[in-house]
Amino acid sequence: MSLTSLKEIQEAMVGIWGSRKGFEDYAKSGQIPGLGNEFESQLDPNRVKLYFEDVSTRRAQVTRNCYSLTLRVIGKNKTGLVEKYWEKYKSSSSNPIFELANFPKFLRDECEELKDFPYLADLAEYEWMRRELQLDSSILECGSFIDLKSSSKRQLHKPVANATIKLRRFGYPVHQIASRTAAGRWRKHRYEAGDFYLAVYQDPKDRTETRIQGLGQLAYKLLEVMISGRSSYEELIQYAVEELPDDKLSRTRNSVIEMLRQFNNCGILLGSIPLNTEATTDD
Amino acid sequence: MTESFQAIKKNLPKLGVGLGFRTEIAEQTLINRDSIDFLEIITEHYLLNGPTESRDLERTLEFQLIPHGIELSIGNVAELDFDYLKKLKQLLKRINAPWWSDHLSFTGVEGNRLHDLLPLPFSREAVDHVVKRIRVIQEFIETPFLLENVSSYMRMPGSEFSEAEFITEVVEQADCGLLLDVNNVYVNAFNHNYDPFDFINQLPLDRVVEIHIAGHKKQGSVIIDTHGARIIQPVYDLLAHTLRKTEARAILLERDQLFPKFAMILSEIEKIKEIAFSASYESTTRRTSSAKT
Repeated sequence: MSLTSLKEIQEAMVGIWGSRKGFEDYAKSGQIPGLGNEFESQLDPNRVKLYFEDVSTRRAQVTRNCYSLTLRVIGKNKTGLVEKYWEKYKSSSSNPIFELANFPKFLRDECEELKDFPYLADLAEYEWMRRELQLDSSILECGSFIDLKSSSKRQLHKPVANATIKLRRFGYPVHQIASRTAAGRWRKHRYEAGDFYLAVYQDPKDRTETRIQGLGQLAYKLLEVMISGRSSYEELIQYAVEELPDDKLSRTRNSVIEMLRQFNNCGILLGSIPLNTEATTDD
Repeated sequence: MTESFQAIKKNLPKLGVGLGFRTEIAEQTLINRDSIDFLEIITEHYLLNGPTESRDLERTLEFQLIPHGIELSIGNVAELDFDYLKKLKQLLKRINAPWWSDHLSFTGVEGNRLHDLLPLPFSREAVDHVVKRIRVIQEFIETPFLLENVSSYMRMPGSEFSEAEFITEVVEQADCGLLLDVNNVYVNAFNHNYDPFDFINQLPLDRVVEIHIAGHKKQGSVIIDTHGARIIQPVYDLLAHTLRKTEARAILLERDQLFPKFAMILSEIEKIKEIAFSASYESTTRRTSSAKT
């Protein structure tokens, strides 16, 4: 009977298979921390290496599936970077996808390529946002369409936002960068930093499709308020008026109504519901 | 489950010859319903419940689906992941699966999962540990469970049994089914230098419900279980050998990479069906002649 426990054996081998340093230390010394000499003689380093390589390949694959554009920009250093990531953010769940949420943060903290490609962490954030969206099974509630010209309807109804929508402010035009990177043209282009607002959401007609909408600052702020789900249309217009104090009230009102119509047309809003059912009345 | 597994096996449906459902060959798979008897799906892909996974699942429901997991990590010394098991149970109910399977391996340790099918030491402690976990899982999941023999490139330190003894101890004591991967038998027999036919003969074949078959790649002094090449004749021979000794309910062709023209996949399925038919004919003839004598 073995005196070394199953736990000790598993921990020792995972320490070698899951870490380049762990593997290289073993390859140099022939010793496995935590296991006695009698075990070391039972192991063939070339066979141990096969598992180390297999684990690295799987990690690279799952990372590439999620961050293909970001890794394309990183180029030749990506293998080492991905290894470093998985060693820092060890997996604890049954699906490795969930462990990749920290990759944008990791790039901000650890990636030297950010000097040449300062938008890299934003691009990763954008890719993660899209990946996360593919996993979103939220129920999409829809409302009815109301006439937004009617003042009383605006007061008594609120918009229903697409439950899958994610809003982000980026420091670079990531949607454009993503398209150029996918087309293999990222290195030839420098991008100005700034504020870039995006709404990313599932197409309500085909939820496997992702829709991406560039937004102005006001539209972004209005959507933030809308997603909180408490404000009537009239309150949203009032909010816009306060955000644009120099504009004429009627012009602001009309532009917000137009904006809301566009949100409806592109699937960001899915109709309207009464603020409370008792309050529903026609003009 | 109070019945013995062999009694349960008698009532499991005969599914025929199926194919692993993979995105890369999804369209051709779905339009070849007449040639493919059932589909095996990777369990973890369908626990996410995202729109793409739900759509894929809906599209495949015309087939009998069998979930095959890669992340149960039955040999892991950490606590069982009941969140995973609850989702798995829901999936099994949703697709009305007659059985499900996963591997006799571990995928990492607490807080550091490597997402790979790692070999266990063939030790008494590992047998006891795995048996205990299978019993808990079977009680919780309620759908019959099959354990698959894994391919391996090294023998883990601390082993006390042969691989065949280890597998037998586990499935007999846990009273579960066996998913026999004949390609894995071939790979391991080569990598660890033993006779694959002897190995199969030592297993409790009355517990085999499903058989996996696939291609592999020779890399230097080892064979790697790639599921990315055509099946070679010695592996077909192991399939025929197994089928002459036991009646499996299902045989599955696994192809995970380097996808050939779909006609090649269909021709492999056809060949598997021919082998299964011949083995069944031989068994019937043998039974008839022994009844006469």
